[in-house]
Amino acid sequence: MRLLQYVAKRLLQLVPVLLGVSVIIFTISHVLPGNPVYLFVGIDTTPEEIEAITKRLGLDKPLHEQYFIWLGNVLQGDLGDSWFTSESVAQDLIRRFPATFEMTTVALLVAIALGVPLGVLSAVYRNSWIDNISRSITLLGVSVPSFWLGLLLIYVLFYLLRIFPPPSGRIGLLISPPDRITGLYLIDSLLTGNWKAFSSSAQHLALPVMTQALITLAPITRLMRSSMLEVLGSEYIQAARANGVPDRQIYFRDALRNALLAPLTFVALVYGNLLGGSVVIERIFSWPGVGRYALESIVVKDYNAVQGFVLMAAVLYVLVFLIVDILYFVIDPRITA
Amino acid sequence: MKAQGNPLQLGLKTEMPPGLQRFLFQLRRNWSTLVGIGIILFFVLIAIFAPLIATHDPVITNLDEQFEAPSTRHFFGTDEVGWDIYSRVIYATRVDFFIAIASVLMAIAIGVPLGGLTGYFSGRFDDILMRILDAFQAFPPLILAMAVVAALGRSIWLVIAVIAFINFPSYLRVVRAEMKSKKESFYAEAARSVGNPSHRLIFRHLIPNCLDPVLAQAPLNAGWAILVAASLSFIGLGVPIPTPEWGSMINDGVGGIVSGEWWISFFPGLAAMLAVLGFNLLSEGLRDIFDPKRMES
Repeated sequence: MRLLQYVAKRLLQLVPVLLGVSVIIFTISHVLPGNPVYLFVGIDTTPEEIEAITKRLGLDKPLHEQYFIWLGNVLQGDLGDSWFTSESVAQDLIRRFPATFEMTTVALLVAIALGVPLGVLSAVYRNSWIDNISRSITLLGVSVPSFWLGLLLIYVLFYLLRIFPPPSGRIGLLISPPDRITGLYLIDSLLTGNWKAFSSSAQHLALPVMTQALITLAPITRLMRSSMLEVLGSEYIQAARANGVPDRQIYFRDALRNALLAPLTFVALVYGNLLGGSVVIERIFSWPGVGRYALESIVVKDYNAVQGFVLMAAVLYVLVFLIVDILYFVIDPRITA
Repeated sequence: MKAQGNPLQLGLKTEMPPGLQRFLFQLRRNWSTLVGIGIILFFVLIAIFAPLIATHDPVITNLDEQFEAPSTRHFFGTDEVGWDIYSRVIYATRVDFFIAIASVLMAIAIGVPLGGLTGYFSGRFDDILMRILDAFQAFPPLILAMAVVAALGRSIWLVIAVIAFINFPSYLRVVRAEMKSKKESFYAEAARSVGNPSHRLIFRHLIPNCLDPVLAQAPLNAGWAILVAASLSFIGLGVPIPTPEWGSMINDGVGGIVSGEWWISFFPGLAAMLAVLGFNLLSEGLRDIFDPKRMES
């Protein structure tokens, strides 16, 4: 009951934020200069024709009316049509989203699986060689441009050593993708028992995941370390020490549990970075996800598609924050609805 | 971290104000700040003396010397159109540092006064402003930057403005938080009671005392600005070619990576990473200095 109340409250709080998001997106695409009508006209178009197109696109109406029409459509899941793929933007995004979701989620899981223990070790053995190594990795990880790291990995692990396949998308060129169930190749190929597709898509995932995981690892490790240090310095841990509780038990039973709370909120932020990063990462790995779709749409000035992608990214980002907040609420009983 | 002994024994000039003394003392024991400052100075010198250090013109193409590997003639090799990578990496320092510094200054110029005012007056204005900021922070930052630049076109100034716009809320928030505690302090009360008008109180007495976290934040944002500018240029939305910029230079080498011409992307990326690393080290060190408790932990 308490949980329901909290979820309801958080959902209500989302309404103004999402309205703000919609106003911002509408402003970027409708109010700022760059008349979309000129996308549809050539040099020999007459002023009358321009007027007709303006009317057809509804651009002659006052701005606030345009906004409400647009918002109404968006709320019904209509993001307009992409004039480049000549399909609905919502359909395009839904079709491409699993590719991005698979890559970013696996990267996030890998980063957490490595970053949390590394941060804990770093805190427990503070100022030791392992702490120094982990802090150096962290510092480099937050300083390196992700796409450059991706290119280096491609050069070394594909071009020089031939360990991984070329950066040519989600699956080998000669292997047909698994039947679509979730759109996630790893899961679909497992469900259909298609081992060839599974191994090929896992290999193709390796490099982009490695790139994004290395970048994501850095802030997670850093936060985990400082959170763990804080908990280890707290009075109840010192009390446990004074009472002779063995170190191992202190670290992994008492401290870790509390130290995990801080990085949890951070996961939401990190996911936003992963989504933003997917635009550049998908470009270098020819990954057929939403990031690459957005980039292609920008190049051909397909405003509906770009707008749809930005809206999707913002909504996803907000939802991830919501999920993390709810998890927080479940884990930490001190938060009250 | 308490300084032991008198200032003379610590080798510090006694006529310096105590705040600066403490700062310099901690700077000496803080290698990360020193290394960070060293790296940044190195790049600043490169930017200033670019015409002297560069061996070729950064924008004149030379189709006789395409795809040449690093050699004594072309230290970092050449690219598809025969541009000398070494000279371009050097000239790009000017562009990228200009973007980093200008965007940070712009973000501070917007965020600090606005944060001071909204923190001091609170109330309805504060509520509305914070809700607006919430909406902007609902976007993954790089995607917001991308959307704006895609709509408005490519130029250095636009990149700077967009990065400043994304960063200013962080300054606003830290100054606002500081202001909320400082405005209740005794010295604020004292300044008020001798008849200072509020604008004087805010801008002369309070805001200068809220700047510590701003200083620690600035290099972090400068580093981040380089990464964003490079990302935007990498996807063709940032600094227009042929202006040398690290991100767009990395982009020039994408094709070469799978055919063995590693140097086209490698050197500009290395420069970008080093520069960002410098700013991050400086920021880390400054945070330790302003918050001594943090260094002890």
